[in-house]
Amino acid sequence: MLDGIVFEKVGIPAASIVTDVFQATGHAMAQAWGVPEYRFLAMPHPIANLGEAELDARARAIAGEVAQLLLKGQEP
Amino acid sequence: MTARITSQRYAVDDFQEALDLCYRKGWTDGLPVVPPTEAAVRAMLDAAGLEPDAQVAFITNRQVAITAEKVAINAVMAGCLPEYMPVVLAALEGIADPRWGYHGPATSTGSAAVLMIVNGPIAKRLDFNAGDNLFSPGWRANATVGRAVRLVMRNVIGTLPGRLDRGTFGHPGRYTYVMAENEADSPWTPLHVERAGCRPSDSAVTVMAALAPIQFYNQLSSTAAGVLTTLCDTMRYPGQIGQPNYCVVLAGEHMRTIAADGWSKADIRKFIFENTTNTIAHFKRTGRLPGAVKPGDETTTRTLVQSPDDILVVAAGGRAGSFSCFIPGWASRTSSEAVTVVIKERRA
Amino acid sequence: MAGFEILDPTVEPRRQPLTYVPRPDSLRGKRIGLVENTKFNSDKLLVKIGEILKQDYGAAETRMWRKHNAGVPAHAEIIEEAKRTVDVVVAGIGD
Repeated sequence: MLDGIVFEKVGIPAASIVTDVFQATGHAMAQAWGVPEYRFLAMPHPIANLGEAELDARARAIAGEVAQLLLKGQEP
Repeated sequence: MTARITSQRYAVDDFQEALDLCYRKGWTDGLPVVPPTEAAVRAMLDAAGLEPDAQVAFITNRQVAITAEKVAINAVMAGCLPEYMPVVLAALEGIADPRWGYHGPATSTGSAAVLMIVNGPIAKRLDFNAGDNLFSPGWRANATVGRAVRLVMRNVIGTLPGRLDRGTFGHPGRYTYVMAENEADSPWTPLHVERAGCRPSDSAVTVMAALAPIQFYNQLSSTAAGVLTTLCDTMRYPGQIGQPNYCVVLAGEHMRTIAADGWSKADIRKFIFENTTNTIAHFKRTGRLPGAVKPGDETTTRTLVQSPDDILVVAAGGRAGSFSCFIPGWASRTSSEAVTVVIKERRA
Repeated sequence: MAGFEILDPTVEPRRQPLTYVPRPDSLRGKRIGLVENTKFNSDKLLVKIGEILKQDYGAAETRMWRKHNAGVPAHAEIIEEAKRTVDVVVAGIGD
């Protein structure tokens, strides 16, 4: 999740994705870095044991949100 | 010492109210803490020779500066004596080191604790246990120095369960995980001298991201190879295959058997490195590596660690008992590496 | 000990306001950087997301970087290359 903040700081629009069990951790990191309202995306956990078809479905499910976050950014 | 203490103050009527406040605020590790009064905190700072606002370490991944004042407060809470402060400070410098890589060991589901190995004259002077019941309760230095570091991790660096600490299990080493090397009885070069080039007269603490100890038993062998064969057979099937540091703790009986054969720590490391390989086929069959077993996999091997130097060999533990142990590190040595820090007494 | 004060052992994070980078109007023709965190299937998933961003949103190309490990942010070499070669970054994902 921190990568998103790091890339913003160097001038590259970014979207971070975590798995959902780590959302609290992502928010805690954002708070530690002084941007508690920082938005990032989450998908269901885990991904390590997914097969090809399931990975395709996960990608399709989140791609729209990725595009939106890249374009809309962190605007309120 | 002229600088002000700037931490927020809480008025309490009595000792019980202080204890209850600390629990309610989430400042403890589940055990009661010593209420941190200004007088007690100043005694810690005096012992370290530090002003309250002196920066001890900076945790980059958390954007947190650890000040002497906050270390002193948490050291009081842990039950430290003021003379323990230099050891606590050195351990914190170690976990702030980029080579230790704070975020991984602290936050990972992999549940590492901070193993702290104390070397040099300070170990005896402050009565750090290096012998019987090595990891057991009963020694103030072992119990409270590790606890102070954990309380700093919790209260200063925000390493809280469910938030920035996602250890699936954690383990009891997260209360405290402190040992000293038994330099008095050991036939070998102390860890801090051979690993980090310290002088024997230096005192140092080595921090390693570590899982719980795993004990092995060999009462039958009278040779180094015999004892270490049992160790390697126990050690070879890793819970994780990332090739982290390992710490091997050799207690009295095994230490004497291995030393009688004339083996050095380097000999021990080499033997372990050569006798803990596995085939890629085995890792695939046992669900540690992905994919189907290919023909070459039956003869392609992977070592337990990246290099023999990644194995920290320490002489410690009881005089009696045909047991020694190994302590797996976390993830991989490239993600977190054991760091040795020289203990600086009275920095002023 | 009657009537005394204790000191707060904690540190509160301080706010560090970030000026966010201006966003492109669309992803059409844009170069997408994918930064995978080394965890299993992260790379595959990011590649698939990248393909959808090309097919459905008109992104021009994707390129992938692998971090040194999951516990650190993207290292300096990745950041320098990304500044030169991509317009936006997608980072993540697994444990």
